[in-house]
Amino acid sequence: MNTDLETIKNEKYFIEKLCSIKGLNGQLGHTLYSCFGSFSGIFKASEKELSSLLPPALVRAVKEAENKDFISANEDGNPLRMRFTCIYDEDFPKRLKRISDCPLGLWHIGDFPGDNIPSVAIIGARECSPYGEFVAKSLGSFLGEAGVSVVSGLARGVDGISQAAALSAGGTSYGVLGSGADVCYPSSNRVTYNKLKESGGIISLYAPGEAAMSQNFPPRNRIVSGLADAVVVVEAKQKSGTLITVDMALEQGREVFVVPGRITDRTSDGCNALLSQGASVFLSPEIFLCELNEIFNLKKEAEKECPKEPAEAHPIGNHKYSSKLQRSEKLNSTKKAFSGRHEFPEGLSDDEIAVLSTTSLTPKTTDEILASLPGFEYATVAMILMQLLIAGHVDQVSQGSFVRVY
Amino acid sequence: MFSKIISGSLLGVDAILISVEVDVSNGLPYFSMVGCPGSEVRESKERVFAALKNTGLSAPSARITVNLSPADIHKEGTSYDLPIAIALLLSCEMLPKGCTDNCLIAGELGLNGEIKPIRGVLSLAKKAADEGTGKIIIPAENAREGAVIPGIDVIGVSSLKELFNYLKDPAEYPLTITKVDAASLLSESECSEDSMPDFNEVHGQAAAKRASMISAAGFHSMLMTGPPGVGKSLIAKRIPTILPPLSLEEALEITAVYSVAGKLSSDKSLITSRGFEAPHHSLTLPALIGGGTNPRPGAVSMAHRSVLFLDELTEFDRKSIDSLRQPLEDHIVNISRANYSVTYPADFLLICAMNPCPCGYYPDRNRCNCTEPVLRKYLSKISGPILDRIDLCVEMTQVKLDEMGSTTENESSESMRNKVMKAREMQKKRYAETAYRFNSEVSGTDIEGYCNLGDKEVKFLKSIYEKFSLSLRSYHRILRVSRTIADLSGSENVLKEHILEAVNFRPNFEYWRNL
Repeated sequence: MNTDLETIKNEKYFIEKLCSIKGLNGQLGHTLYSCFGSFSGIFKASEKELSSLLPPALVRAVKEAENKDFISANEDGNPLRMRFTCIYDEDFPKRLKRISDCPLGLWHIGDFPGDNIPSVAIIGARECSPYGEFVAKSLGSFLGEAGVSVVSGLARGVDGISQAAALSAGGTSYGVLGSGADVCYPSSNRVTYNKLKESGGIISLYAPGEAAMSQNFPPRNRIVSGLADAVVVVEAKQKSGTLITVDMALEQGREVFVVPGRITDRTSDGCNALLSQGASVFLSPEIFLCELNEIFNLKKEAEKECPKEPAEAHPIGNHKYSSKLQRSEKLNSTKKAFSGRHEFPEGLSDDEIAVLSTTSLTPKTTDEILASLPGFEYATVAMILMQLLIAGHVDQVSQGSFVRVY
Repeated sequence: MFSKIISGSLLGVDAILISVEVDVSNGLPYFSMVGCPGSEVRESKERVFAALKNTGLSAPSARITVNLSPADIHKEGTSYDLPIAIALLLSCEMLPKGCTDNCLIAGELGLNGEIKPIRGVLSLAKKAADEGTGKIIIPAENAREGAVIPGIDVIGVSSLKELFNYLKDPAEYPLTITKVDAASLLSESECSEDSMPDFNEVHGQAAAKRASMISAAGFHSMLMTGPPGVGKSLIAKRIPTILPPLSLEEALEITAVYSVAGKLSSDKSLITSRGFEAPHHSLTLPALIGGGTNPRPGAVSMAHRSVLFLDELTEFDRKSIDSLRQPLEDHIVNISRANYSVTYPADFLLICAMNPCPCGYYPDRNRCNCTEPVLRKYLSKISGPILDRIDLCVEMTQVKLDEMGSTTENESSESMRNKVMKAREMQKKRYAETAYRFNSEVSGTDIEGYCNLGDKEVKFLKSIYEKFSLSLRSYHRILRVSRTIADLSGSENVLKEHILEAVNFRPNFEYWRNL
């Protein structure tokens, strides 16, 4: 037994070493393992043996790594609390084991999303509009409050906003980075990054110290959707990286929910296109939560039926529980679509309501608001807007543009 | 023999009197010039000798010494040609003794004896009048410029011959004294302002128009942001039309700057309307602030008592923009050189315009694709200290086409100017006993005292202070602008509505800094 444990520990060291070589933390790693029988064996293999399986650059990288001292993240005294968890560990996320091209292991600070808690990936544009910001924020905090894990990429825009909202609602959130888990990218999200370490986790495919490079992001997106039961697309332009994640999510059999946008908003073109291709419509956080629970339960049942699904041989596009949902029933249920947000706050004067009613999530300047209010004086509108701003009913997004706070 | 003529030298927009002394004595022919002359002054020997010869007067073959006194001040420019020539003629006794007494002479000579215009005649004339000199002889082209100064006879001459004859025998060859009535020039120009742009040509843009009026009333600097083509320059160009008409004193100050810069055209004797200085963003620091080896006023001084418009503020060199701090505070520019320093007036109204982002359309995400780091970098080109000195910020958007065609009468510049003047009147009364002129100048410690705030307003201000986590400086800025808004509405007390409007125009630092 002792020797076995020793071997496993030793093997894990080599898995981590293999994973630290960029490009081998996935299908190629699995192939190497099956060829050489053990992970330590990979590093003992000759150049010739390797070159039949790997491109020359990777062969060189393996050979270089072989002679280099490698310090495992799991060694004691790691100041960052960073761990490396491999696919053979008990606590490796079960959801990931079921996707194709599953990574051999992940570095992480904090935990993984719990296997027994529903998990949602919220994704969307970096340059989001106030509408996207609003949806990301309300969805994030709603899910956070409901105890659902929110997974995302901690990017600017929708990602970071939804994660920050989930955390401040007291929920848990998991950030999958395109850099090493110890590298905070983008640095503007440092506050959220630090909070994630405490209530959730930072997860990465890449070895500590790895910089955020553009080619790191598509594999990262695969993990984001892989860790979730459902994916919500908040805002995406026609050509958007978000759509790549959606493709991966569909490959992995994840249900994709899309927040519809106005046809005049370029920032929602990608979303509307997905909807036209048959993606599920995201109607409100409440309805979404019902649907999520259903998906989660269906999935649990499916697992019970077939508990030992091998990691590699998972069928792509398992749509057992998608699209079959009884949507019409859901809509008739007591849950309302974005309920309670259409009434005006109490205690406002008629003029204030008139001004407030012209504002929306599309930024408008005082002049534009004035133009839609015939009979109002400029000074009056300016004054009322400021009153509404101070009272927190509108928000200022640039020097002089206002959006409504719902 | 020795002779002496009074001339003058420019020091900033002021002048000092310089004695041009010439001594002609027997000896080998020799010419020397002393008294700290600059290179142009040294060259005057050649011009003087050639001009004398070509006028039919011969320079003596003798030992000639020219001294420019006081000898420790650096002399520049070409205005010493004429006094040197006349002093030389006096020394050779070709002109009667005493013919140039009580007379200041300045002018540049051509080789053929013609007299060419010089810079800064207005300042010279003013200094001469102050010193009690009765007469000033200057190039004919500058005559109208000098003539606006009362209490001195201005004689314009166009050639050395003409002047020589006049000095020799004024009865035989009289020269006319140029007369200009500055006050009537000023009032005449007011009536003939038809060709000026007018605010009634601007459709929509209520916020920017209102901000312009507040800016003009309290001399508050203003920044307009907005997409290209919304009319930022259009608005800026019309701001001089709502500033109060120039007083004679102000007109003379502006004319002096133009005169020193050599930008006054010969047919104009007085600048009678407020200018609009809009330098291109590629301008250098000396061009903006003033300077150069021979210091000249920069754009800030050319905009004295009027509008300095910096379009595309973010494209300006950051160093140039930062250098605006001193003139904005002190209303003057000090340019120091190794052995002297000059001061130019720079009391201007700063109006700036910029796009909200590199592509120009933020926050309209349908059109703007600028990423956050790009936006942040773009906005950070405006340094904090300058943003701190901007009282009014206004965002402009495209005017709808139906608004453009609307038949309703837009407020004219004249009506806006009347409101501005009423507000100025209130400020004048309020600050009569103090050094302040406008609300924008009142210091942070004093402004609260001038606002006559009620309990309600004090409480309200406190809530704003907390809500927007203002700095004390921003807080005082809001008070200053509120004071002007109250003045515009004729209210002695600053009320909540005035404060609210001022808050609307505050620089939104959340947008500027923490994007």
